Amino acid sequence: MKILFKFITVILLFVTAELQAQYFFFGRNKVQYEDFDWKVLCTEHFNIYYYGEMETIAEIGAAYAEEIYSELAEKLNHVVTRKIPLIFYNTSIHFQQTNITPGFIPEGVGGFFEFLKGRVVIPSTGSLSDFRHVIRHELVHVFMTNKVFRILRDHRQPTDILPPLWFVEGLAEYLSTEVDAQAEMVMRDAVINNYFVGLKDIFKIYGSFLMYKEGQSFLEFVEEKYGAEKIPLILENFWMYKNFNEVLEHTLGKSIDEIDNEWSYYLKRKYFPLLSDKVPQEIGAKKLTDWGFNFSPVYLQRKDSSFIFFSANRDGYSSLYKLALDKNYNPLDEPELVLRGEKTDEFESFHLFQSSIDVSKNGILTFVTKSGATDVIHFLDVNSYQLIKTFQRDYLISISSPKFSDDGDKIVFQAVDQKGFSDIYYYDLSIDTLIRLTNDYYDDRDPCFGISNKIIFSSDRTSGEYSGKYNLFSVSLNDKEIRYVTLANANFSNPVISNDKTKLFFTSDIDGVRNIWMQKISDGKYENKIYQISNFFTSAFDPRFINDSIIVFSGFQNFSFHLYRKNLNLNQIDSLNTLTFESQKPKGKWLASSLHYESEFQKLKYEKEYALDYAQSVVATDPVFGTRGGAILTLSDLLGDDQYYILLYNTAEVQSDFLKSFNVAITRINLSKRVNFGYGIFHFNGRRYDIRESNEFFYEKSYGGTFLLSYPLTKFERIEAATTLADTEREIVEGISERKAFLLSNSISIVHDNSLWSTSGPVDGSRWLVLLGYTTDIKFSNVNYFSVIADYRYYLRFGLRTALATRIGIFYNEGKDARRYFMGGSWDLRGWPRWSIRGEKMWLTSLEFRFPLIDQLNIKFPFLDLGFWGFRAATFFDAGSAWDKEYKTTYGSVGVGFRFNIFGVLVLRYDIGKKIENDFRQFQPGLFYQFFFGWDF
Amino acid sequence: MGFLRKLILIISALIIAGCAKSLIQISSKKVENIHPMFGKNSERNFYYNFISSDSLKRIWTADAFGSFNNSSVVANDSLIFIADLAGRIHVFNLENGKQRGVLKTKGAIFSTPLLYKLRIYYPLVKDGKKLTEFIVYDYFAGKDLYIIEIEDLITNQMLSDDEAIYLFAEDGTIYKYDYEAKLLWSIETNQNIHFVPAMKKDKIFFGNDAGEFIVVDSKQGRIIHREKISSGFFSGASISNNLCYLGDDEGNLFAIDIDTYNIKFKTKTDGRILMNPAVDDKNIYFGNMKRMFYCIDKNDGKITWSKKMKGYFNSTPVVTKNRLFAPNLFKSLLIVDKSNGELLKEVEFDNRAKLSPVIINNKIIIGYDEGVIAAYEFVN
Repeated sequence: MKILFKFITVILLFVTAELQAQYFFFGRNKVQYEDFDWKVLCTEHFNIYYYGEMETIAEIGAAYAEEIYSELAEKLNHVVTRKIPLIFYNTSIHFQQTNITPGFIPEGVGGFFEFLKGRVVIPSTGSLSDFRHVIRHELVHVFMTNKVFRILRDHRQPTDILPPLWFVEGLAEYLSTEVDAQAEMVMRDAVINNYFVGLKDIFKIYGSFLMYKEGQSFLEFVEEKYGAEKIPLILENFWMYKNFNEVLEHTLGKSIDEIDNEWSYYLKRKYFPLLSDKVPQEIGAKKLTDWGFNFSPVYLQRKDSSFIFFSANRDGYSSLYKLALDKNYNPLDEPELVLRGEKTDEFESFHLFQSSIDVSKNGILTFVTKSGATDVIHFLDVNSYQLIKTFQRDYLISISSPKFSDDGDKIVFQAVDQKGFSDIYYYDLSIDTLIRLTNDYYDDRDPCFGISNKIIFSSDRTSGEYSGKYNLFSVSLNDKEIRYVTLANANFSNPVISNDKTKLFFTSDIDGVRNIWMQKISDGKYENKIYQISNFFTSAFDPRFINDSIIVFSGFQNFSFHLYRKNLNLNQIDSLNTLTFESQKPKGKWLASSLHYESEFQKLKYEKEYALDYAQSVVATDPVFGTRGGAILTLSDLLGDDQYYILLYNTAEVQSDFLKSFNVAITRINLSKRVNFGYGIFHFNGRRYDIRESNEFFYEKSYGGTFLLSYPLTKFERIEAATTLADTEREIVEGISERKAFLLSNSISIVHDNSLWSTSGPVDGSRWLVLLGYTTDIKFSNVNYFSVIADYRYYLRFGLRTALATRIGIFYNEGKDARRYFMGGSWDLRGWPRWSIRGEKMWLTSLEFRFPLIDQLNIKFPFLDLGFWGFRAATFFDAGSAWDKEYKTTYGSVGVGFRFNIFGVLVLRYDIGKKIENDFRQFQPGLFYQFFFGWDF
Repeated sequence: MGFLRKLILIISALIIAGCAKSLIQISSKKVENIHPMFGKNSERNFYYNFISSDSLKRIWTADAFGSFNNSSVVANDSLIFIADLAGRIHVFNLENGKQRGVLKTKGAIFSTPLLYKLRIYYPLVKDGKKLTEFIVYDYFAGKDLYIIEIEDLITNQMLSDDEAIYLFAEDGTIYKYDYEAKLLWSIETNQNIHFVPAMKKDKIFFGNDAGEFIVVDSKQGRIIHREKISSGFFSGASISNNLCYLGDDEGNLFAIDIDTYNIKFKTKTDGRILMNPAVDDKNIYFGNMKRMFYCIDKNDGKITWSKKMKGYFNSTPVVTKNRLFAPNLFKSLLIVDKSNGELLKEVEFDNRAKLSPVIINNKIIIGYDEGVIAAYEFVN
């Protein structure tokens, strides 16, 4: 929304000061729920920006950053001499409100490095190891870009190029983390299931998670085969060649084909032997779903039926589903949608990758969604599909994985508070009482009810030899005493206890990826031995009991997440792999890094410092209009909250007009609070074309100011208001006809948008806008009219990629010297000349069936292979009309169109059809053909 | 329109300046080069036998076109010569910094040029090719004498002795050319080198990426000793008396007997060593990429002092009778009391110090990023 907000402002200043109802926009809102009180922690190499109560996390982050700086300086033989701005948020939810990048930040983005001003933005997720990993990852970007810049500049070469993204991200992962279960899972899956791509084809997975991990894997291969010293040398040699593959060839001393073959062989040799003793999930278990990304199954037994509830993204939205099972626990039918997410503020997001769901024995489903400023826990009656309760606390920002007690009256869950601490909470639904069970910077997660009035949870609080590993712990509800349940050099997650309380199941990455393991419970104690229940070569998550001998779980395979059912065969327990823990548990705690001396840092209140975001100027000469020039500048503060837009150009056609032909607009937009506001002044002078008469123009001089407000009600709705005051002077026929006006324009609008987009435009959801405006000449009474705009668009989805799109719009100006609307062309009334149909009143309707045409088109030249993806098509019907005083005629068109998205930034459109003419009484003879660009409505 | 005229004038001036003649032609009768190569001589000890003042007064700065590798200027009596990474050789007047000439070529010069009589010897690495032109330029006559194409990348510092010049390619090949650019021998060591070699008693000493210490007979062109002693060398060697000193990637400083090739001592320090050590009559001095600076007894390897300092060190310092002058990547030159490591003064620059300082005629010549050369005079 803020992008649009800025865009609206710029547009308003580009055109005359009258109410421009022609320009209206949709779009979702980046709601600024928090009023952050920013502070700065200045260390030797960093300025660290933080807020509120997250001082401890900021100090830990500062210590990490300084340590990492030192390591990278040594490894890469490079220093960054400027202070690096690090901006910390206490949760992903707050991070998503940042104005440092104007776009929306998807869930799962761990942080980003912004190249223009070199800012690094990172949320704490409650896990210090993740926090450290992301700081390191982003600082590798800082060092790498700075080093590449320096190398190119040293050699006096253009500095605006970087290595390809796979290398940039691969290097950041390679230098920031060891191969963990996640990386191992993805690479095993890609190699064994044959979707791994080599260096020559790596563009095919551009921007994907797989690309990150393949880049990391490649550099690990280089280290192992050629030596770690080659990796900084790749950067040192970057100046030598324009083609990055040649840089690799030079540094490694082999052709790219040879390197590619070696890497492929290295991976196959590493992963193919796994198949000798590990199984794919489809063979080791029964697959229950066949489509989409499916997570967190929970089983519910009713009198004569049984179900699995789960969260999933099966159609572009994260939602809750129900799968009915037969008596053999096989699916009876396709999963049924229980609750749709991402369409309303109440269920804005389900956090599929982070949070699990649970169901009580009496049929209450509990799950977490983001709702407004924080996460909330919902309780849904699965019989009536009614929400019976919602739990929310302002100070618990991010919540995940609620689990019921046996009686269904209590839950335990994990939450991240305003300090950025991830801890375990216990909530009694019957008496509405919340108890915090842990309170420290260790990452406590995945709680469940255990035995003897204790809660089992996973935590990185392991000390001693395996310090920092995620083992399982218990915390007593009586005295909050914390004890080890497992102790190994591995990570343990998703604990769940069997109905008979004799077994604890969980996942662990002991053998490289997450498999399901079991620990016996006897006499109220957890044994020191665990048994491997599954032996898959990719990871399993969230095991849950159907009964004591069958479990369901979610698993990753073939780059997809599915639900699986597995028989336990516990009577063959002696044949299972086992691991025995040490009986002696380590004492004490590990301590996070910190800045040791007061002299190492300084704490300050944040003061706005503005720096240039963008500057572009041009001087052009043409034989008709002579020489003219202009510039656009944008400035913003470090946090991107306060932004200035400056437009300056000159349209003088003769030298004597130079001074009076300056066009200037200065606008300030403030996005720091929920209410976004903007104001600005402008002076425009020059030739304008009058859309009343197509071939005429007039001179207009106008100056004045504008004020804008935007209030997002939710992510999907907002109210906007604008006021503009402008003194205008028009010379319609030189020296003869003129119009003076001192215009006051006011408008208010409400906008809704929850549409889901495909490659060429929306395919689901709806968008609508209602605007009321009034424009009057308060000095000369030459202009006086009101405006009403109502625009409604609805997208009915038939399949994953097919939809029926409808639009109806009414645009109405009434009064003296009212502005005209216009239509015609590829964007609205197709077949008719662009913007040729004009009037103070206008209506328009469109009906369009959108469908995929060609998924992939490959052309193989002798010297080059070219691939094109995502061709779409539509059949359409348009109708509309525009008039001033009296209704004239109705225009229409029907036809078929083809759409092609180029790199996600531009859609090319080609329409063929017939115009409907003469008040809808006849089709045009022949066909029209129209080529243009732009997204579908 | 006036604006347009000015614009055209500025663009024309830039074009004319850009097309300035590529020439160094200097009338000079002084054949002796007082600082002919990186490290002053083939032993590369970076030592100046005089008592220096702590006070430096900047007397001039000059701009080269490209930036520098970790190298240094070279000089005869009144002129200093510097190569840049954009393939140019610049000559400046030592007294006032005025440019006396420039050679413009396309490529990059990694090595410090080598002066011999009135000639400049330098290897020019060509862009996008595995090719180096070894160029011999007569700056008295103002013309190239020889341009020899070598199908290799000469990215390491050169060495010279009475009869020849030694070039070290990135892939480990060593070339020996006489002063008339005739190839005398070449030898392949089959391992990459990113190292500044040193030479004494007709032996060339260097380390390579694989951590091997190699000794080559400079007369015969054969390897006379090869031993893996480390994980990797990316630094340089300095020789004093009968010991060769070199640091490795793991922070070890080795002292190796140049006759027996035995390791006399190995001192463990904390951090990657990327520079040649500087050596005086008693100690070895070097910094590392962990911001530590060390003074080590040159005979037994004991650490005399070590200090954590402001900057990261990858350029060799110079040492006088009483002071250390250490350039660092955090945009300054540190002046240190060599007896105890106390920081006496810091001279700040606009950018990262890159060149190893050179002291000539009571002036210290320093270079930093963006191709800036600065001369400071010692004042009392």
